[in-house]
Amino acid sequence: MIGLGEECALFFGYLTKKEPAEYILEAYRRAHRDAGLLPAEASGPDAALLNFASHGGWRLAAADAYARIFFPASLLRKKLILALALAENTPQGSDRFNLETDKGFFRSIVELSFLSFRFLTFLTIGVLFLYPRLNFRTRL
Amino acid sequence: MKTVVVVGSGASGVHFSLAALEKGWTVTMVDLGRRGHEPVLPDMGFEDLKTQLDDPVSYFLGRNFDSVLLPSSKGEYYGFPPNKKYVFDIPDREQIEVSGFEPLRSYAEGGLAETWTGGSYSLRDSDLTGFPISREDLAPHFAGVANEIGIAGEYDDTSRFFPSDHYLRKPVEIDAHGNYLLKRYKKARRRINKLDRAVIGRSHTAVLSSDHEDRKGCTLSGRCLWGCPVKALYTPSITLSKLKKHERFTYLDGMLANWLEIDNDGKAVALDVTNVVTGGKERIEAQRFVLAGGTLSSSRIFLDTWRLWKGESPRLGGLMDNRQIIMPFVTLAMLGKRCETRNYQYHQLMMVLEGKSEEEMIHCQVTTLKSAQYHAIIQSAPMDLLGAMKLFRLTRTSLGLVNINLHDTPRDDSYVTIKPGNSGEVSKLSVVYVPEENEAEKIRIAKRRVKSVLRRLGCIVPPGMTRLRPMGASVHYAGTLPMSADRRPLAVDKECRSYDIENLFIADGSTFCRLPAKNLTFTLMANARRIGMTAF
Ligand SMILES: Cc1cc2nc3c(=O)[nH]c(=O)nc-3n(C[C@H](O)[C@H](O)[C@H](O)COP(=O)(O)OP(=O)(O)OC[C@H]3O[C@@H](n4cnc5c(N)ncnc54)[C@H](O)[C@@H]3O)c2cc1C
Ligand code: SF4
Repeated sequence: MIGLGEECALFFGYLTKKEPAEYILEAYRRAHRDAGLLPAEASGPDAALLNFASHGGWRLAAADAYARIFFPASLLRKKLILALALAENTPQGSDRFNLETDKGFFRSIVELSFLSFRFLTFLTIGVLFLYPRLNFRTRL
Repeated sequence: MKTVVVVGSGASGVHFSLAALEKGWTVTMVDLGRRGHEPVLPDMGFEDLKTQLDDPVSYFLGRNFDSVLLPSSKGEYYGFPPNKKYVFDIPDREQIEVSGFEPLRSYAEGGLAETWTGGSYSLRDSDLTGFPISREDLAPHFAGVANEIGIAGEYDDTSRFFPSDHYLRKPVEIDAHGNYLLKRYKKARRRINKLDRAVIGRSHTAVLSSDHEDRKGCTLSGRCLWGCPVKALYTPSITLSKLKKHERFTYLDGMLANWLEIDNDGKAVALDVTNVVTGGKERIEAQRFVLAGGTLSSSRIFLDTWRLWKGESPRLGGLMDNRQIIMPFVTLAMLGKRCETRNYQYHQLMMVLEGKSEEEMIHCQVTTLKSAQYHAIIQSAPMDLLGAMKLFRLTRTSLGLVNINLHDTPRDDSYVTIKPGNSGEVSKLSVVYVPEENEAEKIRIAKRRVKSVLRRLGCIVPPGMTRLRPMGASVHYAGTLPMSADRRPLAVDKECRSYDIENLFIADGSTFCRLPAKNLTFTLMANARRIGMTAF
């Protein structure tokens, strides 16, 4: 398990390719501790999913894809959504949500196809590594 | 001196009061009157706030992060921003129990319409089927209110459904996506009109495109849901500020209305209120009383009055609300287009689907996505979150929502009643809503028809993303103390005077006899003005 600050940096970096400012780290910690939006400690299958994701890289991408399909309300997804909300509403991340120039229809279709392919690939990896431990029978 | 006490400062209360003052009455308005803060950095656009505010996280997500929409947040595509939460802050004693209904209520200065989206649609005679009044009775008051609040729209294919007697002002500039949809409609118009029996046009909204009195024209800041910083988007608190300057108007905030005291002749003599600061009770006497606390709150006050007067707690049947269906869509031709950062946030287009009869028309508001809390939308994409974020960036300018509204009719099995509390306390309101038997079929047909129109406009509807909103979500509550041409208990006459208590008037949606598939607030305001002008 990693600490909340490290976790925020990992998830924020995964989504935006940027390091979060101290203000964002602080907000992420506050959401867990004082505000009680999310539990600071995870247990059971939530902990297993988070543990896998906390290695970053392909494991985080696979856990993200896997959680979307099998555990949409898992703690991992909630934490990622919190990081997304922080990115969206702060100067460090808000530009990641706008297209500043036209991409054009065909380039967009190509990119959309790539995103779908990428998702299916990581979902498959997620199934291979996570399904034996966390599946439909697992209750969060 | 002619004195009237009005409960509530919402859309209904303020427009009644304006008319009563004009007719020479002295008006005392009783309200709890929760208040928000002045808008921050009024010259900034929505996106600029994220970079210019010292603490954008607290502004957009709340100190306690209660505006973060997590996966379990009831499947809505948006939530209310932290600075608007005060609008829905309910005093402990006004808790209610519900079945089949998820209401929103307000105890704020200006009421629920402090967060409305401004859709303002007039009624035709067929919309008033079952009412003892006609369009002719309301027409001058639609025009009067329109003059006061400013309603923008265009005379187009939709005009025959919304007679407007030429009060419409020039609408706010339309965004690129909305403009594209309008152009596509013009090309496919014949097929859409004939095969889908549908028309599309500009929304009618209470928003100014140019300056009017002390309000500025829309600056395309995209902050509508967060509170218009220049008052271009009308809210009732604008009229309340005007009322407060009138010498015959008194605003008593911090007061919760309990019930009316009725004398032996069946007349109301005083309004019993609780001062929330001192906790003490007070009596406010007047010649006449007007309930404009919103349908649910006015019903509670009426029922408590009845209980203390007659010793019974009857049911008020006929509760109505518009069922809403939210249908997201993607306009293929808008894929990968650059985002315009300055925009008007709310709907700018409407779609009307004709029904078998005029009464059965379906009204839809079409919103192209502009400023919003994107994380709520991104998480609903059927993809990992990083992919969904990139997908959102590419598709953002092509995303939109159709908000489909169905009409409702009064039925006895949808009602409000009270569960009496301890002596001296107000009762608990109990709300029960049972949908019409054939509702599922109506919803299925409405969805199919809207999808067909969207297809002709070059849009696709992503599977599994259309959502049925719970009853109560449209916040168009009506029907519990209806107008009736015949004298009968628990009803009001055509001037909205109670048949039971002769100096009591009801000036909100409680008096509606049916609910057409049209946003009701403009009619609430026009009707409240009509009561003030004709019965006072
Ligand atoms: C998000 C949202 C979007 C909407 N969009 C639209 C739209 O586009 N078009 C449309 O037509 N409608 C819309 N509506 C609905 C619209 O807001 C309501 O129809 C309208 O506000 C009703 O006005 P009202 O004055 O009758 O009641 P309310 O707005 O409920 O006002 C009630 C007033 O009474 C006071 N009050 C209540 N009880 C008491 C009491 N016991 N003692 C003292 N004071 C009391 C409250 O403080 C408040 O001031 C929307 C609503 C919401 C929430
Ligand atoms: S109406 Fe909306 S977009 Fe226009 S100025 Fe007001 S907040 Fe900004």
